[in-house]
Amino acid sequence: MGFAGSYQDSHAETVPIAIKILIAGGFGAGKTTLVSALTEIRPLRTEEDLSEPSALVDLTDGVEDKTTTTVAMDFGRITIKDDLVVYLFGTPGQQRFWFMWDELVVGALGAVVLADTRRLADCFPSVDYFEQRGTPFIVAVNCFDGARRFSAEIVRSALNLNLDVPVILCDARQRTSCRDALVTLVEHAIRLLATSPDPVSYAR
Amino acid sequence: MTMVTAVRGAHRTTYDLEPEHVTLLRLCRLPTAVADLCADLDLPLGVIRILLSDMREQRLIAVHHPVPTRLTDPQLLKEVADGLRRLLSG
Repeated sequence: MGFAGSYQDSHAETVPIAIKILIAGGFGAGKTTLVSALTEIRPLRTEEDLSEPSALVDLTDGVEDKTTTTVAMDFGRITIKDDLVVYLFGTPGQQRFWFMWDELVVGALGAVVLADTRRLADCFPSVDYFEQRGTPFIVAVNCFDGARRFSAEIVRSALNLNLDVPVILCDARQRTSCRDALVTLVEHAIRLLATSPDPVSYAR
Repeated sequence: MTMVTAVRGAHRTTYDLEPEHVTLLRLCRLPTAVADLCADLDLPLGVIRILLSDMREQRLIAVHHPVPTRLTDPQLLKEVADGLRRLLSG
């Protein structure tokens, strides 16, 4: 019937390319601040209280044990041009929400791990996670007021990072500083593409 | 990042739909990310998914799955880096 024809037509539309970038780090490291500084028009999406309707979906997905959790996730959007859009996902900091990470990381360009030098150990799990998944990531040291300033090299050494992982200092409240963090990540991903013969980490 | 698009002509068959379905149809006239729909309707992803799966069953929307291999294109990534620099310079 005619309807089926229309269904096919819709594929003729240009589907924008969506680039997914994750913003990770410990609780209170500045993920929400960073996403707020960069996102264009949308209000931040805070997802909480997975309620009755979503419980139904979770059941069909076979993840029924997760229906009672409360999940907070920041979401931001930067439109580069009509057919190219960058989405920012602030990953939940709490360890009990890590089941979400596995879904978030699929197809992601990479991650910015925000580090708070007052609680540097909080970002260890994020660093471990992305290292194990082979996801490109950088570490951005959020320079809080009143926090003791550490050099990027001291943070690199404390986190036991490979030399090829970029470590930068940033101020999550400043848009240009956050932009630099994203650009550093994208350029790092480009370098990895050039040096890695097997781009499998992107395809997963 | 899964994107959805309203099927052309789908708006003519909205009489038996819930208001949320109709809103979703309106929002995804052009290919739209599921994450954007969550933000627009202020509903959790799980709810949006079930609404969209209803609509897909009725062939009101087309679902486009991401093509992750595109991220192996250095030219595309360069375009992203340049775009971020240009857009967020202020």
